Amino acid sequence: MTLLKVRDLEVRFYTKDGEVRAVNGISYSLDQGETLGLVGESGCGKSVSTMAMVRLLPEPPAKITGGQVLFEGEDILHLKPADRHQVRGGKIAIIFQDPMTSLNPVMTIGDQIAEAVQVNLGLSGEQARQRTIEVLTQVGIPKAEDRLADYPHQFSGGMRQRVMIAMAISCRPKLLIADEPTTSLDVTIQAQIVELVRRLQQELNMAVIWITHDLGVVARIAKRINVMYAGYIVETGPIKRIFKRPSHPYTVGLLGSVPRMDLGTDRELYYVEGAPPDMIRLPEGCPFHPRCRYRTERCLQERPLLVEVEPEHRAACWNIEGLLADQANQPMGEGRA
Amino acid sequence: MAEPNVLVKVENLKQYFPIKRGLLQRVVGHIKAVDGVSFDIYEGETLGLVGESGCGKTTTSRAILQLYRPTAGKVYMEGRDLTAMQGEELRQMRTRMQIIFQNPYSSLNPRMTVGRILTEPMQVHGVAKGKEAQERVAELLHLVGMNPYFVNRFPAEFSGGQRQRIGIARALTVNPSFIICDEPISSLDVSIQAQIVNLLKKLQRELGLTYLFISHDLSMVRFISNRMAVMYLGKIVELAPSEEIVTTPLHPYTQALWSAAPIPDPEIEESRERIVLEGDVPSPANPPKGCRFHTRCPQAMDICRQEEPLLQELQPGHWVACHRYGN
Amino acid sequence: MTTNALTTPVGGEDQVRYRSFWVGAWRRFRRNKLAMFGLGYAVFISLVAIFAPFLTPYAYDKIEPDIALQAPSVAHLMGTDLLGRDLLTRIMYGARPMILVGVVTGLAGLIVGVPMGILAGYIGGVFDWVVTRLVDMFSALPYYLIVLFMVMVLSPSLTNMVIALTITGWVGSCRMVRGMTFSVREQDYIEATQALGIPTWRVLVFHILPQIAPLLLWGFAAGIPSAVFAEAGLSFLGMGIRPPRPSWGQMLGEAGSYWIYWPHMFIFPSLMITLSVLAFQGLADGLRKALDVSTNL
Repeated sequence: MTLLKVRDLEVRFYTKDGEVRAVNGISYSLDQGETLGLVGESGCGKSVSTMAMVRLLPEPPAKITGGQVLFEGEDILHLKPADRHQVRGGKIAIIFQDPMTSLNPVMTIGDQIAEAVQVNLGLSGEQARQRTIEVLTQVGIPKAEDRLADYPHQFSGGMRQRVMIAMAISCRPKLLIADEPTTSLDVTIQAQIVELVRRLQQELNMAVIWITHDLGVVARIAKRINVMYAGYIVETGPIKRIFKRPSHPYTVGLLGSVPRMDLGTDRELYYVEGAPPDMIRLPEGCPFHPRCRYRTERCLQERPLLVEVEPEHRAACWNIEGLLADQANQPMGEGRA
Repeated sequence: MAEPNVLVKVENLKQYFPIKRGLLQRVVGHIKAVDGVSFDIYEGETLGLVGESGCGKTTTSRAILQLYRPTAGKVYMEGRDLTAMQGEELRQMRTRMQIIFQNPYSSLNPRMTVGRILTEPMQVHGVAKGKEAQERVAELLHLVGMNPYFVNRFPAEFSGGQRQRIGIARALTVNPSFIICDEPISSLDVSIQAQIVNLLKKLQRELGLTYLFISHDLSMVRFISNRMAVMYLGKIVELAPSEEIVTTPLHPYTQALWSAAPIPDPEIEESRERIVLEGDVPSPANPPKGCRFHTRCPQAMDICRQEEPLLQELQPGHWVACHRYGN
Repeated sequence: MTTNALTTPVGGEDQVRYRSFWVGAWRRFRRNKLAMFGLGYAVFISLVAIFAPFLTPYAYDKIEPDIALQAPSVAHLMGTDLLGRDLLTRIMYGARPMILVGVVTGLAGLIVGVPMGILAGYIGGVFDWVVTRLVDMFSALPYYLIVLFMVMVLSPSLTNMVIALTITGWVGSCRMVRGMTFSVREQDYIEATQALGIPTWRVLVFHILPQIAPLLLWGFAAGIPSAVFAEAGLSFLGMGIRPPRPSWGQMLGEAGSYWIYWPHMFIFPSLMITLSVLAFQGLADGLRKALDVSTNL
């Protein structure tokens, strides 16, 4: 059952340096209970696109210049400000990267979570308290009842992230947006949080959009991924297929440039030439062409659209055959061709 | 096989930071950031240092370079005792050892041109001046993959990756033999990280450098290091050649670390056995008695709560500090 | 070498978006009308002060009781004062003490405050403790009272006024500099200088000072309006520059009993004081906005 349908979403930022084309017409859908990974580097539009969906971007300078976002059939992109709170918190919940700044430092965590359930679910004071203890226990905070009166700074980084997750699931959302929630955490804590979200997802049958630049993390948690570059989705599909047969030069580059614990080290890291694009002055044609070794004349003029590589797996490139042939001869990660 | 030279020798290094309370700033305790760390770094190798926050790896690096004066212990560089040096002698010794910082946005003086940033160390140490210095700067920029034309630019005009290259060039201005790389790629985008790591490897080959590579990115450290050391709460728990330590980790913490490190392969991730540690890292101000890891160790025994295990060479070149392997 | 993103300037294919900090600051300053007015005024009044003797045919101290208390006329554009001296001439000469006090006090404050502030901030420890206590002591002193007291005890004169104002004023720049030095000191690039073995004096002069320079410039400019006002106030009370050398505050004091029937004696000096404070205030504020490091570079 389709929970979320994003159609041609477009977001611009109007700054004194010019117009930043942050998101350039992306479309995807998400079923109930599914996990989608949004993968890309800084500036690719992954965070902006999801924040735009729930209207959490500062508008101005941001402006949603096109598209639709259908959540349970209803277009939430064009909700009136007064109606937006019905979706946020209750139906769609978000967890962010830095729990220190996303939790109110001068409110106890008990109050913060209780507030969320009272506002969104209309629970009474005592009911809210019970629910708070329930979710804190669910996320693995020991002796939750005793910790209701504690402030965020009294928790460690990993614990704070759990508190934030507790707050997010307190209203039983249908969709959880996780925006780089483990990027600033230590590796063992990261593992804990990833396992926690996996478990919660199954228990609550929640859909999850997990935004990250870490290919290892996304490999653990996502079933499908969208690879984003310069505000476009350049590859999309089941994660196993994409990792096995990456069909966009950027994906190939990304996968090749990440070292792996389990592979040998006597090779150069395959790296992507150049630097991420200037989002104010995107190149003509395919946004990736300045850095692409498979580019052709056509790439400089015409922007490729997503085409099917295999069932459910699509990539936006004019030269997919050339790329796949190249990869077959020389598996990615063996230096540069 | 010839015995490789020891370039840097760290002996029982300790770095304690006093905790002061009250109006009179009485010392009530110490944060034992580094608590008795010993290892050798061989000429031409890359030693990787990994561990999570609070383990003391950054403090260790500063203590080696004498940017903090160690509370106890000795550090030998090219056979000479750095901890005993002061003033001018130490200052001159600094040309032998340099550091590359994590944050490319704060490690370059925003008000100095690239040219000045690079010529200053040369002038100060009498390596080169005037025209000669300028030529050398051009050489260095070329070496790190940047256009020498950039000497008149300010750091703000460059991207993170480019700034990191400038930082690397700066470290090279004084011809060091040893460079500490303190999380040099953590602040960079994934596609740029690979560029910088490849550059560091190339420079090592061409200039015969020795690296201490500190990072929390386990796979990157494994990729670039010949040997790896794992730290936990101010102590080294395991030290071995990279290949060995990754395929056969002996210390429970190392095993948990590797288990937690994500592998970008969904098939493997799906089927992996995970060791998920309970709880949080204890505070370095009040480390657990006995083995510091015992509070989270899935294999803890009684003795672990009482006695600290020593770092012992279990197999040639493979050191572990764990009672499970002790005598 | 192949062309790639490393060899082309940041900011587009061939566009060189090179922006020096000071150039950018000047551009921002230029756009600020009040600031430009302040700058123009500062230049203008300085020139008037310097070239006063050449700009007026009259002497500032020539007493001519016959033409006393005359309203503005063609011969005397601002009229004459109670002793028949040309007001315009006195206004022009009156610019001198204003500028002297403003500039010299500011400079002296910097010369005393900045080195102490930088050293306290960078070296820390006991030195910082001593400097902080000194700053605390001096800022506890009630500014005006101290100045009054000093000037009364030492006898009114311009030099003494400057000394008095400096003694109470240096703490401002010292505190500012100390604070900024603390934050600059924490930056990685300062740690880099240590690792590179760069001597402390070089670090202070070439690495720390340039970071503080914009702040100092602004602080200097910001101190001028209050110095102007202080000078006017003290001279009004008769504690400043000695007559017959004119100062606007002094002239205001003289106009005390005469202002009802001969308002020109009062209007012009007070106009000049107001204008000056406004102009320097605008200049200082413009500098602050133009040099704001947090948003630019």
